[in-house]
Amino acid sequence: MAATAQEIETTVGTQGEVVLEARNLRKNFGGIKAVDDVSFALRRGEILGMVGDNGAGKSTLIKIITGAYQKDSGEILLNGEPTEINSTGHARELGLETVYQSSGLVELMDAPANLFLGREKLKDGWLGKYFGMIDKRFMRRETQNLLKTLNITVRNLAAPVQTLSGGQQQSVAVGRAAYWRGKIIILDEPANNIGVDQQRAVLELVRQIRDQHNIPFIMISHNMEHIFQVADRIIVMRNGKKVGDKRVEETTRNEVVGLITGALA
Amino acid sequence: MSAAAPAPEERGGFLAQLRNYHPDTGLLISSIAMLVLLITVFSFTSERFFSQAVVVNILNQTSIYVIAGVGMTLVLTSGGIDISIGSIIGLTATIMGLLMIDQGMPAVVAIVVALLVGALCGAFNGFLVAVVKVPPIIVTLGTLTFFRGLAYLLGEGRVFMRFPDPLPWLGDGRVLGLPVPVYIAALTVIGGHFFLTSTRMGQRITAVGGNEEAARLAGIDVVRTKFFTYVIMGMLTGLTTIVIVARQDAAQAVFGFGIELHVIAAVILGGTSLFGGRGLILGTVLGALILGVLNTGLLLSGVVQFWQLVALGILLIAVVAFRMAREGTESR
Repeated sequence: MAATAQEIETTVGTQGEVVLEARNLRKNFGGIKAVDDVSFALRRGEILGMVGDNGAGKSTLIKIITGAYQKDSGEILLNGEPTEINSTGHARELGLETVYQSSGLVELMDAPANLFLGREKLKDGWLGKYFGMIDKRFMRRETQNLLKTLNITVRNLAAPVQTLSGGQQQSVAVGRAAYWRGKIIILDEPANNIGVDQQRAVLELVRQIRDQHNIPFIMISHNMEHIFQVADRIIVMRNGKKVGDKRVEETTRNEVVGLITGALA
Repeated sequence: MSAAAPAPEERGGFLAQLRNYHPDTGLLISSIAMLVLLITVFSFTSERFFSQAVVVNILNQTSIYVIAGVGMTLVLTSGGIDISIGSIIGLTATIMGLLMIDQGMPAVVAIVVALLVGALCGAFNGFLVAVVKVPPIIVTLGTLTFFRGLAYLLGEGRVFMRFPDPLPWLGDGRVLGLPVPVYIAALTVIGGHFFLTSTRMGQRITAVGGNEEAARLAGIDVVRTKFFTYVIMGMLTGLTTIVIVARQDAAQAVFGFGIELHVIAAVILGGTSLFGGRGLILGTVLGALILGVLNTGLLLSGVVQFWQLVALGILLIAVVAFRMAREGTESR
């Protein structure tokens, strides 16, 4: 179940096939069309940026894909197979790992506990089987290896993650998604509320994971700089509709901003 | 952060290394320091303080708060609170009296039933907190009067006395010079410590109390975790009742009145967070001992009981204020 850090390092995939496809997704809240006939595709090894103003439908779209909301109509295909995603737990089983804006870590617990949050490694033998005893040494070692692979320096592994900087916390959260063999990693404002240096480090980490493991990302962000730094392709949402789908090299910041605000619509 | 200077992993003195191993060490050390300080002070103010009888008495008195305190530590760690435990004790004690004195049931049956009644009361609290999602302070405020009312209804104001063996032995029996309740408390502590720090459920209780949303997003069943925590609390309250009834060799609906405040004070003194996410079972033992030493020490020093209450209140507030101020500076 759990991939070891070494395994992650050596994972090699093929480039280019579509791993996630959304077809004509719709979601209404009362009379409001939060997501209105949106289709898009995500390819292996691709970082897909998703931009749009507040209330443009980005979050709703992501929540449908991660099972937090149920779609009204449309289809989601994983590796070409039509798939119903019933819950966030189900999404995770399918390999969709989400890193949330608030990082989704338990700040008072240490890095190993957070890496294995909800998926604790039990000890082999009767202690694990009958007493639910967890294998702390294994968890600690795996965390150490993972952090080393990701170039994250943590002074004290037993310290609560709240003692880490915001950027390190976010890196741990992104690393966790990679560790658990996320086939697709979804980042919701990954570099919000953290220092500029740290933002760069988190984005660098995203690119590094993509390069090493060929894992595709969907990244929601308000920050145009971030999007243009790492994304291969940009989807622009506006009033629940997809109003733009461009490769970064074929567009400009001005064009994207124009699409977001409707000036170019 | 990334690719920065190499990690100065195991550096610093013995204390720093200890903290590397376990960051809560500082809290435990401060509790031990407070305990030592109190003992030192009382050894000057009272000549009798250091007799074996006094020490054994303190341990014996403290044991019931420790047993209930282990449960309370878990509940607080999960982000909840249970102020109904005093009433659970009253209800459980009454039922034990009815079964053993009126029905003549053997002690073993009554003990099992006591644990079950406690667990059921806990399950009731847990259901309302976890499933119905009423705030824990409200739920247990309600059941505080509800369980007590039931106890009075069932007990009809009676005092049950002279329990059959071997129940009284659980209260005043001795093994190797120490009272049996001390052993029961010690076993509860060992079990509780292992449970909280080294099992999956313990980790999840901590996670739920630390950040419920993150726990849920990580796939932890928050409802089940919270429910289970209150059931354990109830069961340990049942165990506390057994010890109280055994020691008094009596049972009454009024038993346990006000105990929750003493228990919560011990847990908080021990370093467990009132807001969830950090629980220290060993700290709870120290907190309960601090209260026991304070009470006995003041008593032996000839301080009137009212002043003991005043001292206890001041100590609790001072310790928590000090700790919060220190944490504030540390985490920034």
